[in-house]
Amino acid sequence: MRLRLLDLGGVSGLRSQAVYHALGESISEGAMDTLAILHPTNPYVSLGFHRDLDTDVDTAFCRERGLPVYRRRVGGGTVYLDADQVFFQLILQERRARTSVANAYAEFLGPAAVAYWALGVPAELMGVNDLAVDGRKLSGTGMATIGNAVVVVGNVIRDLDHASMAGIMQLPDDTARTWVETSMRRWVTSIQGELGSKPSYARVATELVKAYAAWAGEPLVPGRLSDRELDQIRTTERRLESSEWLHREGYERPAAHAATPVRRVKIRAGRWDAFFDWASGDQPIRVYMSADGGVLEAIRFARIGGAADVDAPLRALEGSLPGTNGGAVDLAERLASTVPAADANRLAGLLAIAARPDG
Amino acid sequence: MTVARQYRVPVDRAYERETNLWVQDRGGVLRIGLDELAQEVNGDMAFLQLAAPGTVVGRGDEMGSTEAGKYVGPILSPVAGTIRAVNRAVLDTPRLVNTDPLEAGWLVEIEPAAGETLDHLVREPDEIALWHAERVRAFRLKGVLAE
Repeated sequence: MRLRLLDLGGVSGLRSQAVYHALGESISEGAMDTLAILHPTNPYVSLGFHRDLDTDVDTAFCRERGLPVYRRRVGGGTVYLDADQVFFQLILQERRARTSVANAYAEFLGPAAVAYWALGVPAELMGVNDLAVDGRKLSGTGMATIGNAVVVVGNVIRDLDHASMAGIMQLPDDTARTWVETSMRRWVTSIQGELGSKPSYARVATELVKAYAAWAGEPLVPGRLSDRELDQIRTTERRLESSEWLHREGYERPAAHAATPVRRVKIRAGRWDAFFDWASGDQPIRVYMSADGGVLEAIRFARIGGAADVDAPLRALEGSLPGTNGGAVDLAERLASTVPAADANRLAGLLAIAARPDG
Repeated sequence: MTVARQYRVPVDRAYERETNLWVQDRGGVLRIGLDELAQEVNGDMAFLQLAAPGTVVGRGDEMGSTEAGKYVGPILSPVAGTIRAVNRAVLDTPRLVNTDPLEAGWLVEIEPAAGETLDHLVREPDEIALWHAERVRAFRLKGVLAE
Protein backbone atom coordinates (compact mmCIF):
# COMPACT_ATOMS: atom_id res chain seq x y z
CA MET A 1 0.00 0.00 0.00
CA ARG A 2 1.44 3.37 -1.02
CA LEU A 3 1.16 5.96 1.72
CA ARG A 4 2.20 9.58 1.36
CA LEU A 5 4.05 11.09 4.28
CA LEU A 6 3.54 14.71 5.26
CA ASP A 7 5.95 15.54 8.07
CA LEU A 8 4.76 19.08 8.75
CA GLY A 9 6.67 19.70 11.98
CA GLY A 10 5.32 22.57 14.08
CA VAL A 11 2.22 24.36 12.82
CA SER A 12 -0.30 26.66 14.50
CA GLY A 13 -2.95 25.02 16.63
CA LEU A 14 -5.56 26.03 14.08
CA ARG A 15 -3.63 24.43 11.23
CA SER A 16 -3.02 21.28 13.26
CA GLN A 17 -6.79 20.76 13.12
CA ALA A 18 -7.37 22.11 9.63
CA VAL A 19 -4.95 19.73 7.91
CA TYR A 20 -6.92 16.51 8.31
CA HIS A 21 -10.28 18.19 7.79
CA ALA A 22 -9.07 19.76 4.54
CA LEU A 23 -7.29 16.67 3.24
CA GLY A 24 -10.36 14.56 3.97
CA GLU A 25 -12.68 16.99 2.23
CA SER A 26 -10.44 17.28 -0.82
CA ILE A 27 -9.43 13.64 -1.29
CA SER A 28 -10.20 12.41 -4.77
CA GLU A 29 -10.78 8.92 -6.09
CA GLY A 30 -7.44 7.27 -6.74
CA ALA A 31 -5.46 9.76 -4.65
CA MET A 32 -2.76 8.31 -2.43
CA ASP A 33 -3.61 7.82 1.22
CA THR A 34 -1.76 10.18 3.54
CA LEU A 35 -0.11 10.07 6.94
CA ALA A 36 0.42 13.56 8.36
CA ILE A 37 2.70 14.00 11.37
CA LEU A 38 2.81 17.38 13.10
CA HIS A 39 2.58 19.20 16.39
CA PRO A 40 0.84 22.43 17.37
CA THR A 41 3.13 25.32 18.28
CA ASN A 42 0.53 26.94 20.53
CA PRO A 43 -1.80 25.33 23.08
CA TYR A 44 -5.53 25.18 22.40
CA VAL A 45 -8.71 23.32 23.25
CA SER A 46 -10.33 20.79 20.96
CA LEU A 47 -14.07 20.21 21.36
CA GLY A 48 -15.70 16.95 20.21
CA PHE A 49 -17.98 17.30 17.20
CA HIS A 50 -21.26 16.76 19.02
CA ARG A 51 -20.35 18.37 22.34
CA ASP A 52 -21.91 21.54 23.63
CA LEU A 53 -19.41 24.36 24.10
CA ASP A 54 -21.05 25.85 27.18
CA THR A 55 -21.60 22.63 29.09
CA ASP A 56 -18.24 21.05 28.18
CA VAL A 57 -15.72 23.89 28.23
CA ASP A 58 -14.79 26.39 30.92
CA THR A 59 -14.71 29.26 28.46
CA ALA A 60 -13.68 31.78 31.15
CA PHE A 61 -10.58 29.70 31.95
CA CYS A 62 -9.77 29.45 28.24
CA ARG A 63 -10.15 33.21 27.76
CA GLU A 64 -7.88 33.94 30.73
CA ARG A 65 -5.21 31.62 29.35
CA GLY A 66 -5.62 32.79 25.77
CA LEU A 67 -6.61 29.30 24.66
CA PRO A 68 -8.60 29.21 21.43
CA VAL A 69 -11.32 26.57 21.17
CA TYR A 70 -11.82 24.68 17.91
CA ARG A 71 -14.55 22.15 17.24
CA ARG A 72 -13.24 19.04 15.47
CA ARG A 73 -15.22 16.78 13.16
CA VAL A 74 -14.22 13.81 15.28
CA GLY A 75 -16.03 12.49 18.34
CA GLY A 76 -15.17 12.28 22.00
CA GLY A 77 -14.85 14.94 24.65
CA THR A 78 -12.94 18.13 25.25
CA VAL A 79 -9.15 17.93 25.28
CA TYR A 80 -6.26 20.29 25.88
CA LEU A 81 -3.56 20.06 23.20
CA ASP A 82 -0.11 21.60 23.13
CA ALA A 83 3.38 21.38 21.66
CA ASP A 84 4.27 18.34 23.78
CA GLN A 85 1.82 16.24 21.79
CA VAL A 86 2.76 14.81 18.40
CA PHE A 87 -0.25 14.25 16.16
CA PHE A 88 -0.58 11.45 13.65
CA GLN A 89 -3.40 11.85 11.15
CA LEU A 90 -4.31 9.17 8.63
CA ILE A 91 -6.41 10.29 5.70
CA LEU A 92 -7.57 7.22 3.82
CA GLN A 93 -9.78 6.42 0.89
CA GLU A 94 -13.10 5.41 2.39
CA ARG A 95 -12.97 1.90 0.92
CA ARG A 96 -9.84 1.19 3.00
CA ALA A 97 -11.83 1.36 6.22
CA ARG A 98 -14.87 -0.69 5.30
CA THR A 99 -14.78 -2.99 8.26
CA SER A 100 -16.13 -2.74 11.77
CA VAL A 101 -15.06 0.34 13.70
CA ALA A 102 -13.33 -1.80 16.35
CA ASN A 103 -11.38 -3.69 13.65
CA ALA A 104 -10.45 -0.43 11.97
CA TYR A 105 -9.11 1.09 15.19
CA ALA A 106 -7.10 -2.06 15.89
CA GLU A 107 -5.61 -1.97 12.41
CA PHE A 108 -4.87 1.75 12.14
CA LEU A 109 -3.61 2.24 15.70
CA GLY A 110 -1.40 -0.85 15.69
CA PRO A 111 1.55 1.07 14.17
CA ALA A 112 1.17 3.86 16.74
CA ALA A 113 1.47 1.24 19.49
CA VAL A 114 4.60 -0.11 17.77
CA ALA A 115 6.06 3.41 17.75
CA TYR A 116 5.38 3.73 21.48
CA TRP A 117 7.23 0.43 22.07
CA ALA A 118 10.19 1.73 20.08
CA LEU A 119 10.15 4.83 22.28
CA GLY A 120 10.33 2.61 25.35
CA VAL A 121 6.67 2.47 26.40
CA PRO A 122 4.86 -0.88 26.00
CA ALA A 123 1.54 0.49 24.74
CA GLU A 124 -1.48 -1.62 23.95
CA LEU A 125 -4.98 -0.99 22.72
CA MET A 126 -7.46 -0.59 25.60
CA GLY A 127 -11.19 -0.57 24.98
CA VAL A 128 -12.05 0.40 21.43
CA ASN A 129 -9.63 3.24 20.84
CA ASP A 130 -7.37 4.14 23.76
CA LEU A 131 -3.66 3.38 23.69
CA ALA A 132 -2.62 2.59 27.24
CA VAL A 133 0.15 1.14 29.39
CA ASP A 134 -0.79 -0.85 32.48
CA GLY A 135 -4.26 0.71 32.39
CA ARG A 136 -2.98 4.26 32.11
CA LYS A 137 -4.13 6.14 29.02
CA LEU A 138 -1.35 7.23 26.68
CA SER A 139 -3.21 8.51 23.67
CA GLY A 140 -6.65 9.64 22.69
CA THR A 141 -7.78 8.78 19.20
CA GLY A 142 -10.79 9.23 16.99
CA MET A 143 -12.18 8.27 13.61
CA ALA A 144 -14.66 9.92 11.28
CA THR A 145 -15.88 10.12 7.75
CA ILE A 146 -14.81 13.50 6.35
CA GLY A 147 -15.70 14.10 2.73
CA ASN A 148 -14.89 10.90 0.86
CA ALA A 149 -12.17 9.95 3.32
CA VAL A 150 -11.96 8.06 6.54
CA VAL A 151 -9.79 10.02 8.93
CA VAL A 152 -8.05 8.50 11.94
CA VAL A 153 -6.38 10.92 14.33
CA GLY A 154 -4.36 10.39 17.49
CA ASN A 155 -1.46 11.74 19.45
CA VAL A 156 1.77 10.59 21.02
CA ILE A 157 1.92 12.49 24.29
CA ARG A 158 5.52 13.41 25.07
CA ASP A 159 4.50 15.23 28.25
CA LEU A 160 1.10 16.09 29.67
CA ASP A 161 -0.09 19.24 31.42
CA HIS A 162 -2.66 17.63 33.74
CA ALA A 163 -3.65 20.91 35.38
CA SER A 164 -4.56 22.51 32.07
CA MET A 165 -6.32 19.33 30.95
CA ALA A 166 -8.57 19.55 34.02
CA GLY A 167 -8.70 23.35 33.91
CA ILE A 168 -10.40 23.61 30.51
CA MET A 169 -13.38 21.51 31.55
CA GLN A 170 -16.67 22.92 32.70
CA LEU A 171 -17.10 21.40 36.15
CA PRO A 172 -19.40 22.24 39.04
CA ASP A 173 -16.69 23.58 41.39
CA ASP A 174 -13.02 23.54 42.31
CA THR A 175 -13.39 20.33 44.32
CA ALA A 176 -14.55 18.58 41.16
CA ARG A 177 -11.66 20.11 39.24
CA THR A 178 -9.16 18.81 41.79
CA TRP A 179 -10.93 15.44 41.73
CA VAL A 180 -10.54 15.22 37.91
CA GLU A 181 -6.96 16.41 37.96
CA THR A 182 -6.08 13.81 40.59
CA SER A 183 -7.69 11.06 38.50
CA MET A 184 -5.86 12.20 35.41
CA ARG A 185 -2.52 12.25 37.19
CA ARG A 186 -3.14 8.63 38.15
CA TRP A 187 -4.71 7.30 34.97
CA VAL A 188 -3.52 9.46 32.06
CA THR A 189 0.17 9.34 31.39
CA SER A 190 2.83 10.39 28.91
CA ILE A 191 6.26 9.30 27.81
CA GLN A 192 7.74 11.74 30.32
CA GLY A 193 5.52 10.25 33.01
CA GLU A 194 6.57 6.69 32.18
CA LEU A 195 10.26 7.15 31.45
CA GLY A 196 11.21 10.33 33.27
CA SER A 197 12.30 12.01 30.05
CA LYS A 198 10.66 12.92 26.80
CA PRO A 199 11.84 12.26 23.26
CA SER A 200 12.14 15.04 20.71
CA TYR A 201 9.47 15.63 18.09
CA ALA A 202 11.90 14.31 15.47
CA ARG A 203 12.45 11.07 17.35
CA VAL A 204 8.70 10.48 17.72
CA ALA A 205 8.11 11.29 14.06
CA THR A 206 10.88 8.87 13.02
CA GLU A 207 9.35 6.01 14.98
CA LEU A 208 5.86 6.74 13.64
CA VAL A 209 7.22 6.73 10.09
CA LYS A 210 8.99 3.42 10.62
CA ALA A 211 5.94 1.80 12.16
CA TYR A 212 3.47 2.99 9.52
CA ALA A 213 5.90 2.01 6.73
CA ALA A 214 6.04 -1.51 8.15
CA TRP A 215 2.24 -1.53 8.26
CA ALA A 216 2.01 -0.25 4.68
CA GLY A 217 4.52 -2.86 3.53
CA GLU A 218 6.74 -0.35 1.75
CA PRO A 219 8.55 2.90 2.51
CA LEU A 220 6.34 5.95 2.91
CA VAL A 221 6.43 8.42 0.04
CA PRO A 222 7.63 11.82 1.30
CA GLY A 223 5.37 14.56 0.03
CA ARG A 224 4.40 18.16 0.48
CA LEU A 225 1.08 19.94 0.51
CA SER A 226 -0.02 20.90 -2.98
CA ASP A 227 -1.22 24.42 -3.73
CA ARG A 228 -4.75 23.07 -4.00
CA GLU A 229 -4.47 21.43 -0.59
CA LEU A 230 -3.04 24.60 0.94
CA ASP A 231 -5.97 26.58 -0.44
CA GLN A 232 -8.35 24.03 1.04
CA ILE A 233 -6.54 24.21 4.39
CA ARG A 234 -6.86 28.01 4.47
CA THR A 235 -10.57 27.75 3.67
CA THR A 236 -10.99 25.15 6.40
CA GLU A 237 -9.14 27.35 8.90
CA ARG A 238 -11.62 30.14 8.30
CA ARG A 239 -14.48 27.73 8.91
CA LEU A 240 -12.96 26.24 12.08
CA GLU A 241 -12.48 29.76 13.47
CA SER A 242 -16.04 30.84 12.73
CA SER A 243 -18.69 31.19 15.38
CA GLU A 244 -21.11 29.36 13.09
CA TRP A 245 -18.92 26.22 13.15
CA LEU A 246 -18.03 26.46 16.83
CA HIS A 247 -21.67 26.72 17.84
CA ARG A 248 -22.95 24.44 15.03
CA GLU A 249 -25.47 27.04 13.98
CA GLY A 250 -28.20 25.68 11.73
CA TYR A 251 -28.33 22.35 13.54
CA GLU A 252 -30.84 21.26 16.12
CA ARG A 253 -29.59 20.28 19.55
CA PRO A 254 -31.18 18.31 22.38
CA ALA A 255 -33.56 20.21 24.62
CA ALA A 256 -32.05 21.50 27.84
CA HIS A 257 -34.34 19.27 29.88
CA ALA A 258 -32.94 16.22 28.10
CA ALA A 259 -29.44 16.90 29.39
CA THR A 260 -28.38 14.46 32.04
CA PRO A 261 -28.11 15.94 35.54
CA VAL A 262 -24.78 14.13 35.87
CA ARG A 263 -21.55 15.71 34.64
CA ARG A 264 -19.35 12.83 33.50
CA VAL A 265 -15.69 13.12 32.54
CA LYS A 266 -14.05 10.19 30.79
CA ILE A 267 -10.62 9.56 32.25
CA ARG A 268 -9.79 6.57 30.06
CA ALA A 269 -11.64 3.61 28.53
CA GLY A 270 -14.22 2.41 31.05
CA ARG A 271 -13.20 4.87 33.76
CA TRP A 272 -15.25 7.96 34.58
CA ASP A 273 -15.38 10.71 37.15
CA ALA A 274 -18.87 12.08 37.73
CA PHE A 275 -20.52 14.85 39.70
CA PHE A 276 -24.16 15.57 40.46
CA ASP A 277 -26.44 17.27 42.94
CA TRP A 278 -28.89 15.37 45.08
CA ALA A 279 -30.81 15.89 48.31
CA SER A 280 -30.90 13.81 51.45
CA GLY A 281 -33.95 14.95 53.36
CA ASP A 282 -33.66 18.74 53.39
CA GLN A 283 -29.87 18.71 52.85
CA PRO A 284 -28.76 19.67 49.33
CA ILE A 285 -25.77 17.47 48.62
CA ARG A 286 -23.13 17.46 45.89
CA VAL A 287 -21.76 14.04 45.00
CA TYR A 288 -18.24 13.46 43.67
CA MET A 289 -17.38 9.98 42.44
CA SER A 290 -15.14 7.79 40.33
CA ALA A 291 -16.11 4.50 38.69
CA ASP A 292 -14.17 1.94 36.73
CA GLY A 293 -15.89 -0.68 34.60
CA GLY A 294 -19.22 0.34 36.16
CA VAL A 295 -18.00 -0.25 39.72
CA LEU A 296 -17.87 2.64 42.18
CA GLU A 297 -14.31 3.22 43.28
CA ALA A 298 -14.57 6.37 45.36
CA ILE A 299 -17.45 8.60 46.43
CA ARG A 300 -17.71 11.74 48.49
CA PHE A 301 -20.76 13.67 49.70
CA ALA A 302 -20.59 17.38 50.53
CA ARG A 303 -23.24 19.85 51.60
CA ILE A 304 -23.96 22.53 49.03
CA GLY A 305 -23.61 26.07 50.31
CA GLY A 306 -22.65 25.19 53.84
CA ALA A 307 -19.48 24.55 55.71
CA ALA A 308 -20.99 21.90 57.94
CA ASP A 309 -19.98 18.33 57.34
CA VAL A 310 -22.53 15.82 56.04
CA ASP A 311 -24.30 13.60 58.54
CA ALA A 312 -22.69 10.42 59.84
CA PRO A 313 -24.85 8.03 57.73
CA LEU A 314 -23.66 9.66 54.52
CA ARG A 315 -20.09 9.59 55.77
CA ALA A 316 -20.59 5.86 56.35
CA LEU A 317 -21.84 5.44 52.78
CA GLU A 318 -18.57 6.92 51.53
CA GLY A 319 -16.89 3.92 53.12
CA SER A 320 -19.40 1.25 52.15
CA LEU A 321 -20.32 2.16 48.55
CA PRO A 322 -16.91 1.66 46.89
CA GLY A 323 -16.82 -1.77 45.24
CA THR A 324 -20.54 -1.60 44.43
CA ASN A 325 -21.75 -1.89 40.85
CA GLY A 326 -23.48 1.37 39.99
CA GLY A 327 -26.17 -0.52 38.10
CA ALA A 328 -26.90 -3.05 40.87
CA VAL A 329 -30.64 -3.74 40.98
CA ASP A 330 -30.72 -3.76 44.78
CA LEU A 331 -28.79 -0.52 45.17
CA ALA A 332 -31.83 1.61 46.04
CA GLU A 333 -32.87 -0.95 48.63
CA ARG A 334 -29.44 -0.90 50.21
CA LEU A 335 -29.32 2.89 50.23
CA ALA A 336 -32.75 3.00 51.86
CA SER A 337 -31.25 1.63 55.06
CA THR A 338 -29.32 4.91 55.34
CA VAL A 339 -31.45 7.61 53.70
CA PRO A 340 -35.22 8.07 53.15
CA ALA A 341 -36.59 5.72 50.47
CA ALA A 342 -37.47 8.43 47.95
CA ASP A 343 -33.99 9.94 48.26
CA ALA A 344 -32.46 6.47 47.97
CA ASN A 345 -34.30 5.80 44.72
CA ARG A 346 -33.14 9.11 43.28
CA LEU A 347 -29.54 8.51 44.37
CA ALA A 348 -29.52 4.99 42.93
CA GLY A 349 -30.77 6.30 39.58
CA LEU A 350 -28.09 8.98 39.47
CA LEU A 351 -25.36 6.54 40.47
CA ALA A 352 -26.44 4.18 37.68
CA ILE A 353 -26.00 6.99 35.13
CA ALA A 354 -22.76 8.22 36.69
CA ALA A 355 -21.04 4.84 36.88
CA ARG A 356 -21.91 3.57 33.38
CA PRO A 357 -18.72 2.26 31.78
CA ASP A 358 -19.70 3.33 28.26
CA GLY A 359 -20.01 6.77 26.74
CA MET B 1 -43.12 -6.58 5.37
CA THR B 2 -40.19 -8.70 4.27
CA VAL B 3 -37.67 -10.12 6.70
CA ALA B 4 -34.04 -10.42 5.60
CA ARG B 5 -32.30 -12.65 8.15
CA GLN B 6 -33.23 -11.07 11.48
CA TYR B 7 -33.91 -7.59 10.11
CA ARG B 8 -37.37 -6.21 9.47
CA VAL B 9 -37.55 -4.44 6.13
CA PRO B 10 -41.02 -2.96 5.65
CA VAL B 11 -42.02 -2.57 2.02
CA ASP B 12 -44.22 0.47 2.66
CA ARG B 13 -41.18 2.67 2.05
CA ALA B 14 -38.19 3.05 -0.24
CA TYR B 15 -34.50 2.62 0.61
CA GLU B 16 -31.29 4.40 -0.33
CA ARG B 17 -28.86 1.80 -1.66
CA GLU B 18 -25.63 2.92 -0.01
CA THR B 19 -26.73 4.50 3.26
CA ASN B 20 -29.64 2.21 4.27
CA LEU B 21 -31.83 5.22 4.95
CA TRP B 22 -35.54 4.58 4.48
CA VAL B 23 -37.86 7.10 2.86
CA GLN B 24 -41.58 6.91 3.53
CA ASP B 25 -44.04 9.02 1.57
CA ARG B 26 -46.56 10.42 4.03
CA GLY B 27 -48.92 12.35 1.80
CA GLY B 28 -46.30 14.36 -0.02
CA VAL B 29 -43.92 14.75 2.90
CA LEU B 30 -41.07 12.26 3.05
CA ARG B 31 -40.20 10.82 6.45
CA ILE B 32 -36.64 9.53 6.66
CA GLY B 33 -34.84 7.22 9.06
CA LEU B 34 -32.14 4.58 9.37
CA ASP B 35 -33.12 0.97 8.76
CA GLU B 36 -32.48 -1.83 11.24
CA LEU B 37 -29.32 -2.96 9.46
CA ALA B 38 -27.85 0.54 9.52
CA GLN B 39 -28.52 1.00 13.22
CA GLU B 40 -26.83 -2.31 13.99
CA VAL B 41 -23.81 -1.44 11.86
CA ASN B 42 -23.57 1.99 13.50
CA GLY B 43 -23.84 0.65 17.04
CA ASP B 44 -25.19 2.46 20.08
CA MET B 45 -26.02 6.01 19.13
CA ALA B 46 -24.31 8.43 21.52
CA PHE B 47 -25.03 11.71 19.75
CA LEU B 48 -27.12 12.83 16.85
CA GLN B 49 -27.33 16.17 15.11
CA LEU B 50 -29.91 17.17 12.49
CA ALA B 51 -30.18 20.22 10.26
CA ALA B 52 -32.84 22.68 11.37
CA PRO B 53 -36.25 22.91 9.71
CA GLY B 54 -36.10 25.19 6.70
CA THR B 55 -32.73 23.87 5.56
CA VAL B 56 -32.65 23.12 1.84
CA VAL B 57 -30.76 19.97 0.92
CA GLY B 58 -29.83 18.28 -2.33
CA ARG B 59 -29.43 14.55 -2.85
CA GLY B 60 -26.29 13.49 -1.02
CA ASP B 61 -26.00 16.71 0.97
CA GLU B 62 -25.24 16.43 4.65
CA MET B 63 -28.39 16.80 6.71
CA GLY B 64 -26.97 15.65 10.03
CA SER B 65 -24.40 13.49 11.72
CA THR B 66 -24.10 10.55 14.06
CA GLU B 67 -21.61 9.59 16.73
CA ALA B 68 -21.77 5.93 17.55
CA GLY B 69 -19.21 3.33 18.54
CA LYS B 70 -16.37 5.93 18.61
CA TYR B 71 -17.08 7.00 15.04
CA VAL B 72 -18.52 10.20 13.60
CA GLY B 73 -20.27 10.00 10.27
CA PRO B 74 -22.53 12.22 8.20
CA ILE B 75 -26.17 11.59 7.43
CA LEU B 76 -26.62 12.29 3.73
CA SER B 77 -30.01 13.28 2.43
CA PRO B 78 -31.46 10.64 0.09
CA VAL B 79 -33.66 13.23 -1.63
CA ALA B 80 -33.60 16.88 -2.60
CA GLY B 81 -35.95 19.16 -0.74
CA THR B 82 -36.55 21.25 2.35
CA ILE B 83 -36.44 19.89 5.85
CA ARG B 84 -39.85 20.53 7.35
CA ALA B 85 -39.61 18.68 10.66
CA VAL B 86 -36.96 17.19 12.90
CA ASN B 87 -37.73 14.40 15.34
CA ARG B 88 -36.92 16.04 18.67
CA ALA B 89 -37.29 12.74 20.46
CA VAL B 90 -34.20 11.27 18.77
CA LEU B 91 -32.20 14.41 19.46
CA ASP B 92 -33.01 14.09 23.14
CA THR B 93 -32.65 10.30 23.20
CA PRO B 94 -30.39 9.15 20.35
CA ARG B 95 -30.73 5.50 21.38
CA LEU B 96 -34.28 5.65 20.06
CA VAL B 97 -32.65 5.13 16.67
CA ASN B 98 -31.35 1.80 17.96
CA THR B 99 -34.47 0.67 19.77
CA ASP B 100 -37.12 1.70 17.22
CA PRO B 101 -35.44 2.79 13.97
CA LEU B 102 -38.44 2.12 11.74
CA GLU B 103 -41.05 4.10 13.66
CA ALA B 104 -40.36 6.31 16.70
CA GLY B 105 -36.69 6.66 15.73
CA TRP B 106 -37.32 8.54 12.47
CA LEU B 107 -34.99 11.46 11.82
CA VAL B 108 -36.47 14.19 9.64
CA GLU B 109 -39.35 14.98 7.32
CA ILE B 110 -38.54 16.56 3.99
CA GLU B 111 -40.78 18.32 1.51
CA PRO B 112 -39.36 17.16 -1.82
CA ALA B 113 -38.08 19.73 -4.28
CA ALA B 114 -40.13 20.34 -7.42
CA GLY B 115 -39.59 17.44 -9.81
CA GLU B 116 -37.87 15.27 -7.21
CA THR B 117 -38.82 11.60 -7.49
CA LEU B 118 -38.01 8.43 -5.59
CA ASP B 119 -36.99 6.56 -8.73
CA HIS B 120 -33.36 6.33 -7.66
CA LEU B 121 -34.31 4.44 -4.49
CA VAL B 122 -35.07 0.75 -4.02
CA ARG B 123 -38.85 0.55 -4.00
CA GLU B 124 -40.32 -2.71 -5.29
CA PRO B 125 -40.79 -5.48 -2.70
CA ASP B 126 -38.81 -8.10 -4.64
CA GLU B 127 -36.04 -5.63 -5.32
CA ILE B 128 -35.96 -4.57 -1.67
CA ALA B 129 -35.54 -8.17 -0.51
CA LEU B 130 -32.67 -8.82 -2.94
CA TRP B 131 -30.95 -5.53 -2.20
CA HIS B 132 -31.18 -5.97 1.55
CA ALA B 133 -29.90 -9.55 1.50
CA GLU B 134 -26.91 -8.36 -0.51
CA ARG B 135 -26.25 -5.54 1.97
CA VAL B 136 -26.30 -8.00 4.87
CA ARG B 137 -23.95 -10.34 3.00
CA ALA B 138 -21.56 -7.51 2.20
CA PHE B 139 -21.41 -6.28 5.80
CA ARG B 140 -20.78 -9.85 6.99
CA LEU B 141 -17.94 -10.28 4.51
CA LYS B 142 -16.33 -7.10 5.80
CA GLY B 143 -16.60 -8.34 9.37
CA VAL B 144 -18.97 -5.57 10.37
CA LEU B 145 -21.73 -8.03 11.28
CA ALA B 146 -21.38 -11.33 13.09
CA GLU B 147 -22.19 -14.46 11.10
